[in-house]
Amino acid sequence: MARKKEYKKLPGIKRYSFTRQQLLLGRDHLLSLTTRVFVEEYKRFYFRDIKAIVLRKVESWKITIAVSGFFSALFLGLALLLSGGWTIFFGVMCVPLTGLFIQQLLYGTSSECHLITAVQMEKLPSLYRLRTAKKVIRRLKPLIEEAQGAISAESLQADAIFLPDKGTGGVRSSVGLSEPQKRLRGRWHTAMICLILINALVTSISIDFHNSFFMSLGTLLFFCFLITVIVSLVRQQNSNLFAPLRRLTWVNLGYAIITFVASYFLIIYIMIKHLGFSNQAMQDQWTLMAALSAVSVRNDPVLLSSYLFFIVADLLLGITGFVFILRHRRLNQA
Amino acid sequence: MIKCTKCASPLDADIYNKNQLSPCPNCGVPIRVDAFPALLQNVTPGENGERLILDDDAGCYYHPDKKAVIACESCGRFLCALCDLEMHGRHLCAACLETGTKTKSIKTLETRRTLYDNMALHISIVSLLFWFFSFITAPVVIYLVVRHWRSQSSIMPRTKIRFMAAFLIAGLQIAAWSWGVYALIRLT
Repeated sequence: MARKKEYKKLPGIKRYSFTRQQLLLGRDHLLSLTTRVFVEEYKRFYFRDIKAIVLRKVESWKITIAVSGFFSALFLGLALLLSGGWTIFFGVMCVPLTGLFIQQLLYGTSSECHLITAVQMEKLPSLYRLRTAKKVIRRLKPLIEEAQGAISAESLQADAIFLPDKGTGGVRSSVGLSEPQKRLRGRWHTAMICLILINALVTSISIDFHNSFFMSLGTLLFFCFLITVIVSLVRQQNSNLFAPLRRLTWVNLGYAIITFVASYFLIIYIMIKHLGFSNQAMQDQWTLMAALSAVSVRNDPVLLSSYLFFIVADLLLGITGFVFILRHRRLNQA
Repeated sequence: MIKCTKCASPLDADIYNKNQLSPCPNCGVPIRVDAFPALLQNVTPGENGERLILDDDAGCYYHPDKKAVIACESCGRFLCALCDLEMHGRHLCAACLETGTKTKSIKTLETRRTLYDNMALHISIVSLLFWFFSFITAPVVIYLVVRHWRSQSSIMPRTKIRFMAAFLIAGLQIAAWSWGVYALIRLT
């Protein structure tokens, strides 16, 4: 006779390089199973102790989609534009990124799920997709209600008056959430937005005046922008900053990374197409820059389109940030 | 009160148990809270042992001046309310609880297991890449298989296929080494 299974697997597995995390359903508890190559670690959450399950939608999948989509398009473009070995090289680079792009689209919205008991707030990494998390919650809810009894939204609202700030929220959780918010004027954010707008201006000038001065100025502005983004991200932690502005700072970081990588590929492209990897051009950084700045942007469709893309993106991010800064200041004053 | 897992601001009770994502009042992030009756219950404080008043009353094994209320289900020692530790319906003393954790006899307290079958298989596979070390790893794998054939493996039921594969690889490696040594002796 087959032995009755003690645990049932629940949907969702989170894989890291050497670790795997999944949830198992026991008779009276939920088991969080973490497998590290040769070791299995268990955490048990008894149905009668679970106070709440908090599910939050996160936007990380959109970033992955944007980055993988951008680079797969870039590599595909380069594979089509160039010839010979480069086509194969960029074609091969394009394949995994396209796979990642399709996978993200198929898996759908990402999420973060926390389970709250009287003494802990535990993140459930395996429930990192909204669809899976909803499915698991749908399965868990009747079991928890069987152990504790059901509670309606109305009765919770009625009891909300005496919900104490102890136990659940009062416990300093593993995600460290209970620090007081600090007031922020957003000067670094303003500097970041000013820099991105100046960068848009410099990039548009350098379409017609593509020389060493504007290239150096553009590089300097980019690094200043990157520094202000990092400082802004540090300062906005636990602050009262307007939420969309906070998100925009993260978008700016993503944009800075994309710009950095794309510029690198553009340099490679110019070297292949215009300079032919000549040794003379690559003697040192200054010679290389002089050779790069001698290339006409207007006469090259790839360069022109990428410059236009950067200008539009800079303006879009700059103007949006400017509006958000104004709203944040208005809210702060209010 | 439950707090937003992103901005840490308290979430209004009107978004609890709505079975759908609702925006956080502070950061606007879509969030769903499924709350259960345990949320409204406070953690009950631990009890202190009651002092012995009558001579007829039995005293606690660990606190002789306190009144015994229950016997440990594992060792039978009398325990006061302070020493009584309830574990999913079982009443145990601290010593039995500690022993149970160490010996893994209380299954619900088990927090980790070593997967010897995974270990044996990984070692045997890695030794295929670094074959020169297989004269050391192959006996180690054979030892692991024999020693831990009956040891507890994963919490989810699994077959012995990993052990079998590891044993097969290690056996072949030992056979290959034996043949190599034999051939070398014959040659010299």
